[in-house]
Amino acid sequence: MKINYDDYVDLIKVKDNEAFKILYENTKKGVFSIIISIVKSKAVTEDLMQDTYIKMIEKIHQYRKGRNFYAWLLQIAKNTALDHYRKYKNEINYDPIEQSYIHSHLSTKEKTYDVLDLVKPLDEIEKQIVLLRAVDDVKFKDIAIIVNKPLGTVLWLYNKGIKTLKEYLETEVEK
Amino acid sequence: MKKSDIKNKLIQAVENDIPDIFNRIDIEKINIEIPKKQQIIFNPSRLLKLTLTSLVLFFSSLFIYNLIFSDSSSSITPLESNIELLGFQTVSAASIFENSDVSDLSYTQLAQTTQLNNDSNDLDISDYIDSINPYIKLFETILNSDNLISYVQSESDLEGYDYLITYKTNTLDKNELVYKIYYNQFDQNNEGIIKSQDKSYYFNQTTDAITVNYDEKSFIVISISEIESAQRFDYSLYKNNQIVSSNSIEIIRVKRNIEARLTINQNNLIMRLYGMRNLKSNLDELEIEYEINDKQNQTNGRIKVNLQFNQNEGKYHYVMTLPNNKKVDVPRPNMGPDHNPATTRPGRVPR
Repeated sequence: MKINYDDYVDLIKVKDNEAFKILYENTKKGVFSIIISIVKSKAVTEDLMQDTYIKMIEKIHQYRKGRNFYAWLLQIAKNTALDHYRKYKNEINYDPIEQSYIHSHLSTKEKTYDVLDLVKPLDEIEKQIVLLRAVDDVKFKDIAIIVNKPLGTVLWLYNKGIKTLKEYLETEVEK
Repeated sequence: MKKSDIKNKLIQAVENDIPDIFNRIDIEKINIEIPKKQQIIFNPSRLLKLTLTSLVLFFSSLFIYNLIFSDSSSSITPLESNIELLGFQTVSAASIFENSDVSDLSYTQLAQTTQLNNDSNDLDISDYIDSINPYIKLFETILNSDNLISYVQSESDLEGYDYLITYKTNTLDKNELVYKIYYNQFDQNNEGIIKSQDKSYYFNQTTDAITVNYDEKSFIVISISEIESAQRFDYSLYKNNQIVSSNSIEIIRVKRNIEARLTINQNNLIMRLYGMRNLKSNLDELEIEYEINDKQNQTNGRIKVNLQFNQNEGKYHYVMTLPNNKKVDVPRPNMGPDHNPATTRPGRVPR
């Protein structure tokens, strides 16, 4: 059962660890889903999840009750992951030697998450939409805010994504 | 593989994969940013905006109040259950999609028709037939005696969906017209698919609105507003993610008949169509009262729409009789998923 996040916001402001644990347990699937649809490394994902929750606590006064806390948190997660991605891309452009190191380290040698194998045929946006909806039952109108697309487009991409996964899982994984 | 199997696989994988980083965060050591106090500065333009907004809200409320309490023409609201509301909204959206190319419902078409009438004092209804035509089939689909319309919920016979609503009515030529709406329920949301002819349209229903998708970038968002004697549905049509048309349909039950008032408001033109169905022993008839006006000119009157069998094409056409008795023949689109025009026989009485 979903909780009312606003009930815990004031407790976070006074650094109540129990309230934070409840918020964490109820939101970790969505935060994880958003981050792994942008970055693939396990180590980086863990760091970014940590950064997301720290930022949420640091900026808790910026959240206004009555708005959508979960969508706000997922937006922080998405921006944190995108900031990392952009920084990583700049490093590649800036230093060709480092580029080869980072690329091989992150994309070939390290084992990624199993869930990423399942959603392999989807692009980044489709992964975000499908994972948020299927794994955490996030409302479509909240997903539309997070991915910055109209509701109709989100619905369309979700159904298209599920159809793609159906075909992919039936042919590839079930073999 | 069912949709629920895919979901379960993803949930299982995420639950196995998700790292636990809770113990890596020490909330005591985090510096929570102190909120900046906002200074309220006197701003005349803001004050003016607030005053104007309050006035607009006041007059809008007054207008809505008058609209509700001055309408005593008809009886109780026709759609009573959530099943009927979901069925009506998806069927009407599918009918609009089927009826015409989505582009036909854009601002452009009416803007062009307006150009034809710049020199005259009164608008000529003949110039608006193309604009009215897409809505005739919609009227044929949704208007009928209420004992000839049914919404039945049952278990789905389509893999991946839990529920089915079957919408049944009969066409003007007394053949059965069936739409099937398959859906799943998630919390307060419904998502599903409406099957219409060889096409399927996905939809999602939240507590606020229903979105029915034509394709990735074109869709209709329908919201409901209840008024005392009718139910009003507002349709916003998006094409390429841009809103191109805002229409509304109010449905009213008069005695046993479901009637509808359609308002199309585009550019400087307002077109109001009040549709009724006259039940006859052989072929039913539609009667449409229209009122079209732009800023300077207007026209109103009544059109009758009858079916006429075209021997060459082997199917029915709509024949519209205008107020000056001029007759206009327009092809009738195919009717719905379970209606085969090739087997249509005039005068068939519904079971």
